[in-house]
Amino acid sequence: MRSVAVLAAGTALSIPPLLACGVTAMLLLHPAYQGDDAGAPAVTVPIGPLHPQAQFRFELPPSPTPYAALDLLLATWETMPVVRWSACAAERCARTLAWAADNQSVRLDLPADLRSGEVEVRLDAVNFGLLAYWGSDATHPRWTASRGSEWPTALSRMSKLATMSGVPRAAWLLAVGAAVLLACGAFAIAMFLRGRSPENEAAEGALPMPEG
Amino acid sequence: MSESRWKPASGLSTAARLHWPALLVGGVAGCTALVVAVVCPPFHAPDEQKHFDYVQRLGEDARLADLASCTVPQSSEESHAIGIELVAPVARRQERSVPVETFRLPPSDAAARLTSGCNDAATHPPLYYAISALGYRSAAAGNVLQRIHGARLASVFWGMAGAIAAYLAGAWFFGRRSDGALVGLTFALQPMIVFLNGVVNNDSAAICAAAACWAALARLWRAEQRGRTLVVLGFLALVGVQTKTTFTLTLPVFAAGCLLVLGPGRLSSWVKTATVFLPAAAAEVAWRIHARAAIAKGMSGGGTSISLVRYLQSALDYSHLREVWIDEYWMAWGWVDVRLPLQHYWTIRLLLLLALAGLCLGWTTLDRRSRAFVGFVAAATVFLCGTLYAIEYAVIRRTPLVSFIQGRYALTLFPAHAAALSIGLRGLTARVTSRLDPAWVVPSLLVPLDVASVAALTLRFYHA
Repeated sequence: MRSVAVLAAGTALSIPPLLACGVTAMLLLHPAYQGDDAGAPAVTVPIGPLHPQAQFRFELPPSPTPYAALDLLLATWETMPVVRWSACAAERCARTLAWAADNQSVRLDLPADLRSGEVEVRLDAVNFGLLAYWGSDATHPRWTASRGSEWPTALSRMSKLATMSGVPRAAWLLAVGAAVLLACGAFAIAMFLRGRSPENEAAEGALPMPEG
Repeated sequence: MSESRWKPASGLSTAARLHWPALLVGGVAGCTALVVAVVCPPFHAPDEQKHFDYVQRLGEDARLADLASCTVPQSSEESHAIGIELVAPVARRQERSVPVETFRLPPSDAAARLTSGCNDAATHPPLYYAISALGYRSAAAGNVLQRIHGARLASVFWGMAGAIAAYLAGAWFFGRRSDGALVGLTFALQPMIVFLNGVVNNDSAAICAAAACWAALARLWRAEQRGRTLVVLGFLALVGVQTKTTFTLTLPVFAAGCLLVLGPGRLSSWVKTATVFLPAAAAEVAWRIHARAAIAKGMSGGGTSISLVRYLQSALDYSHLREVWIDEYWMAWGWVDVRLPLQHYWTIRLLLLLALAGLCLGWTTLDRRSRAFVGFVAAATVFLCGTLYAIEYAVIRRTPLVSFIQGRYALTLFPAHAAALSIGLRGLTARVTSRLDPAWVVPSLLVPLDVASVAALTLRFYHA
């Protein structure tokens, strides 16, 4: 019984940091931001809830460089659905698995070397929540298409502004910061698993008792 | 972890040898704040342009703004140019990034740096700005971006000092250096505090001063060197009221804590408490008198006629409470809409629920001291929030503003909240095992939140 209680408590306590790690990993692997209003009407409402097999089409204007992703602004009524999409163009498809959040864009991968033409987006699965897109009607979602990979460009632009601000090696600072954070995380996990008992009080450095 | 890892270094004073982990905690706070200082574009932080204007006034002229003669808000030409080039095009337009490629540094001659210092921030006391002006002066030969970052460095140092104070508060309260590291790291990694420690804003100083006061109260409670501790507490309170009004609003909490520790049944306790906090109260009154014209002007201009009942219905609505006291208190980065993953707010709410559950389940296992502390923190929180609501009601009735409170105004209570959170989480396993220390879930949660915050900040402002 005690073992069950310990297991239950340990599991419950692990959920917040594990969930946060998962969401952070998704953000790092699938960087997204709210996209452009290009092609969007002035007034938008949540179009949904969407169900699997829902489809919509987008016409990408010609671009000299390949498109990398298509961003859709989503509504989830504060739920946290896990969503699978397929984006197909010219008989090629790219699939995306993403964790959707309210009023935030999801970045859908596009087939490689796509420079123009029609893209058909199909919703393959919605689990653990509700999903809609912001749009004026069922055929006009708010969307934008982005080009190129995101992190190198963002870090490069950040470094450029940092250099103007007198910080020559901003990327190194970010790397050191990441290392410090990881070390803190590892230390916290070690202390969590070590426990807290009178036996290890001396090792943890108990403060001398005040006199009197 | 073996005993040797906690063995203090030799050759230092006793206190330094005992509390060497504080330096590591301060280092973590400094590192995370520096990352924000570098990544966050200029003036994309709460009222940063106004705070910088105050700093620039002191840095260039070594004089406070002449509040009596201030008529319209002003900033220097170069500060105005930064706002036009790097803020206005981007504000509230998520799809737009900072125009790094087309940005040109504005002229930086003496005329471009001139400012009267007249803006809302000028009614704040000068301590934070005077220290930031030193950072500004250290980059005096550089361009305006370099001077903004010089000023931001002052916030970084306040953040490091605050983290060390939080460590001491935890160590003295719980009686273990590992618990000091717990509270200190929780402070150093709290996303909202990390953000404020990396930008030009006097919140970092107010939160640091408050953390130091909590440390002094914890030492007082240990009955160690009470006389000296009371003097230090009085000095810290005096420093604190020179930082920001949010510290002043917390002053009654510190005074009540001091009185309770000394023993409210004794007349001498009341006399000592009054003596300790009198200089701070006098300094606050003196500053209010100095800035009375500007403060009165700020509280005028016509307001909204709203009854108290209607205001309370709106203010105490669940979604509003959650947004202000959880989301904004823990993690609302960026002044102009850096959107963080919604799921992260869920993890914070879940953590708070777990702590509450732990308090309920483990209440009878807590010693009398812990119960008294949790009760005091709860009362302090209600007091501070109630005071802020009263101020907001007055602001809405008298000024064109329709809201005033932001969750970060309660961060002066954070070291106490961090300790109470630890007590609550430990209650979850108190009856069943000591082989887990649930309190360390907090810093382990804050690490991915900080990573996501920096990532979101970078994407928001620098995406292609």
